[in-house]
Amino acid sequence: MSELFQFVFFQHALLMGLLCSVACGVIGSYVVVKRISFISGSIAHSAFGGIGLSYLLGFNTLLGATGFGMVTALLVGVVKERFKQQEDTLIGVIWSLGMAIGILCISLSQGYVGDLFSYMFGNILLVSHADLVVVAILDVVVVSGVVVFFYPLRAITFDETYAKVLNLPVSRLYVFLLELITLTTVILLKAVGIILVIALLTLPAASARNVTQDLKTMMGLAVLLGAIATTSGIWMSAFLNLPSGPLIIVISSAIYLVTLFRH
Amino acid sequence: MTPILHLRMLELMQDPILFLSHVEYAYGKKPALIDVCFSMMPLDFVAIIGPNGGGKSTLVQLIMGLIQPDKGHVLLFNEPPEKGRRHVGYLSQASTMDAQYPIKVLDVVLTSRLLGNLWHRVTQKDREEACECLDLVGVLPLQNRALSDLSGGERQRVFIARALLNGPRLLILDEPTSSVDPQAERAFYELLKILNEKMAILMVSHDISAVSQLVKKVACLNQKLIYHDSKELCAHDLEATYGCPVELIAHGVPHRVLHAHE
Repeated sequence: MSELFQFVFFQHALLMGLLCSVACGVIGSYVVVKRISFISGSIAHSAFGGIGLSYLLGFNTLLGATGFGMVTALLVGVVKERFKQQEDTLIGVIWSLGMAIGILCISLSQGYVGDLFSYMFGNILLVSHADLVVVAILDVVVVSGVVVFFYPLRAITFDETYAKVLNLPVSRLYVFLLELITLTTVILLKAVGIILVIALLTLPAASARNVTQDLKTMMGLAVLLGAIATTSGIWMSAFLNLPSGPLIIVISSAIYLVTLFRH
Repeated sequence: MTPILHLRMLELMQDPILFLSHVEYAYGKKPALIDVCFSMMPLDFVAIIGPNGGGKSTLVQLIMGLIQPDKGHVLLFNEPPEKGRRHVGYLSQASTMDAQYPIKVLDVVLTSRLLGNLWHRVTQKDREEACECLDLVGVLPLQNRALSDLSGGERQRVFIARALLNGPRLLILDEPTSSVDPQAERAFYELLKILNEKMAILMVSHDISAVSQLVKKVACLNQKLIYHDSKELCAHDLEATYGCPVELIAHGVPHRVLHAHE
């Protein structure tokens, strides 16, 4: 069992799992308490448009997903502010339009379509050193964003009206939160893929929500539960020769079910 | 000069803390408020009653600067609501808040310290003042409990403590008794009586019985606002507001608010 640790790919995978757990535990907690899984899902899925675009034009896909996702997050913020009546429909449109753009771009390019599968479902055992560096930087950005703006973000996710009355820049803070969700999506991309991002973003946080009544504790616990799910998922993936992403999600769901009964 | 007349003259010399002039607001083509004029003086205690859908919450949102009037204007402490609202303690309707949010009671109150400054870091002094507010509303022992563990009445007191933290000169309460049982309601009015010694209170409710003996003035709102300069309600105004005959019920002599009916 321990000989697995000698392989660089395995060390990379475990490290990636931990980096993912930090981002999805912290940001996922806001997603869960603000009940914006659907909005987060649309941002995550539309990031695929960025992957396709960068695939076609031949630049770094994580960079492409980040740029595309950040524009989408801004768009979602505008929709929420200006088009409240059609919010649900428009978010759905953004969700599928991003995916469609991604698939069209990849079809237009002459590349190897096997990569498409890995972006859809992720493969944490194929993480490169460069990926780790990018994800580590994004992790630092996301975590410092939350450390600096923890209280205003809590204020707008708890009671938006009161936050407005306090003259906090509610709309801008909301877009900021959506941008952090975008970055978290990019962090999770290699590990679990686009399709499963939303599950890892919500499951550890929702599990933590079932056992604690304090946002800070919830974040810490979500990070821990995420770390347990990714680490054990990676082990099982290596031993059973099954894809890591779905295994991580199955384990996260199992943890969620256990906490649900405790709740 | 009688003392009462003297007080009355002092009142007239002061600026109103809240001033609405010919305010109109419509949702699309459906008017919510028509030509509303209204003002409040320091230490007033006004109740606005009216049926559901009569525009009460719209009025509160206009006063708080959360929406802008189509016509007319609103002044809070001689300033536009966006500025003047820093002097207002605001209690929104219970239904607009997430009672299941994972947050401790003391942290709910401390939220108010973010007023206009998202960089604010909570200090020991903030905590002490928040505890004073919790003590004033009688829920200090609950300070470390989770909000979701509290009863409706306790939760509402926590939100009042939050509204009090920045030392407001006007307290605005939107349907404050909707999630409170009758016993807690009486205690709640006792609390308002104490608070009214230091600040003006504007209360909005669909429930006529909310007009307790503490309230100094009453206004009826159903798109149009009928303002009484006292708390005596007459059946005619109530019928105009509720759109149907309203039976006035007197609450016995010590609690009499409404005219005794024949």
